[in-house]
Amino acid sequence: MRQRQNVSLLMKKEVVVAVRSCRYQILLSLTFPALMQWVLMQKLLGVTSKMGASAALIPKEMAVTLLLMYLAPILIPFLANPLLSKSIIEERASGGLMVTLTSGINTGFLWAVKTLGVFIFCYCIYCVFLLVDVIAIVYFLKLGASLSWFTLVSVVFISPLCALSITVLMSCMNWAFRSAAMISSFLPLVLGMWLITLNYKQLSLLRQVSAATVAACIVLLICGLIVSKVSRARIVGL
Amino acid sequence: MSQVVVSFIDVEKRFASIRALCGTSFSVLEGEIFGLIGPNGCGKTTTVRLMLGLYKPTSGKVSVYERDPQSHLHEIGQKLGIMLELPGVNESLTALEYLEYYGAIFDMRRSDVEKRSRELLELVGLTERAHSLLKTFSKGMRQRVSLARCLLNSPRLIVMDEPFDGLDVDSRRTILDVLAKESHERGVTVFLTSHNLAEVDEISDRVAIMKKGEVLAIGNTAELKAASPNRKTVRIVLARDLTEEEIAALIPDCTYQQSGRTLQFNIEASAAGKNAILSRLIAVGLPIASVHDESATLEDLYFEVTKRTGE
Repeated sequence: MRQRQNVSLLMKKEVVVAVRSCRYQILLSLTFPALMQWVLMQKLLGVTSKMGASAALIPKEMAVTLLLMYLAPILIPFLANPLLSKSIIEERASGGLMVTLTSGINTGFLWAVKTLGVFIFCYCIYCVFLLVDVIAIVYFLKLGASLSWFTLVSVVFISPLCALSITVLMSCMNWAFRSAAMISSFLPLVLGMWLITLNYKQLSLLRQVSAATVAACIVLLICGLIVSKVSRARIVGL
Repeated sequence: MSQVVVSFIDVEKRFASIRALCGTSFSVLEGEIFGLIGPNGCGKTTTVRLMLGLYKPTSGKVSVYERDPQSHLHEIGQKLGIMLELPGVNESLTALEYLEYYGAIFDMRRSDVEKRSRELLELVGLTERAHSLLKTFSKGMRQRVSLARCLLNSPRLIVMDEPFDGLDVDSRRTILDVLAKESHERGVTVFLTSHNLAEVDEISDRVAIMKKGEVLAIGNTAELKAASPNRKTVRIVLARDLTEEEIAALIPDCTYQQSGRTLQFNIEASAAGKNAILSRLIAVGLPIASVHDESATLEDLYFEVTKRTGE
């Protein structure tokens, strides 16, 4: 019970630090996903409405599902990266990480707490964005009928799982390598560009979702293994 | 017999071609305050990092509470309080939140953490700033918060690496007083590295003098001073003004420094050494107003030991 209380306290600290120290970064990080969401909405839904159901490149239902499913893998890593950088890189530079790690805490546990704390915070913001999207789809675009149970499960669990795997990958890079901040910053950007330039014609949604889920689990497993092998000296930047 | 808390046996640490430590051996006993002194780059921080399990020795053995710190840091960490040169505080938290965070790291009960945090903030004189963000704190105040964090889990061993660097007199005094209290009242062992010799001299029971990765001298501070030649200064204040020539004519074969009416002699530590010089001055008729003994400081000892080894 005490351990559980402490885990929540440690995660809360990550969120408090993130909100207090990265206000502008948070706002800036949300700009790009919001912009991409707008472009996707124009591209997917605009195409279907202008050309009519018969001429549409993809069905309306799939367009709506894709729109919602792209949100988490774009928004969460974009938002998580500056927060994780703050948490890991700055603590490393200030000597705080050395103090924490030499207190006897398990390094993997500390990494997991930091990463999950940031992820949960980002997930909450994602839920707000998701709600806005759903409201827009149902009330403004009048496409509420296109929302299925499959979409719901995908956007609540599977998409965030993919986002978690990207977040964990960035976190793992920052944790294990002193100068990985630049590379990890490009990761969500590259992913975002790839998503926006998807070839709609050859898209098989179910196949893509399955592949993404498997890939996410593999990434999580590999990152977990890497983190468990990294020495304290490397983590603190010696 | 006191338990050995920290033990370095013939430890060597190499970084590529650089030998940071060369066959270093020493032990720290339970309840003592042990000071490791030496110039920058002599291997003090490497010693601390080996003790904290951050480095693996190239050869030799490091043990803390009879365990290898690399593989048993979880057990050792529970007994350990660490204070480094950089305070390592998170600027976005308040002092109280910062201590609560470390309470969670040490798996302490929340109610205990809050009570202990308030006690410690009072001890380091920061009660009124408990709810202020740490980014508004000066370096000295941050270092005091760091000291409070170091004591949060009631450690049995406190390891400090250059804790006095860049601190004002008040903050230095706070740290010294807290350390002395912890050591004398709770029997806490303190391992301290510094190049501020005055602080180490004041507080340490034993010191080791290190240079270029080697321990040149080790022992009880008072014993080391006593065993050292040329470590005592006697200041003699004359009853009336005499010119340099007049004094030189009276004691032509003595070496001293003159400053107004004060003559300063560096003599051997024994009572005989002091008596010999006094007898000589009285015999030649120098008018003596007062005599002041000044024991050698750790600084004198440090310079002497490093000079003796060819530097």
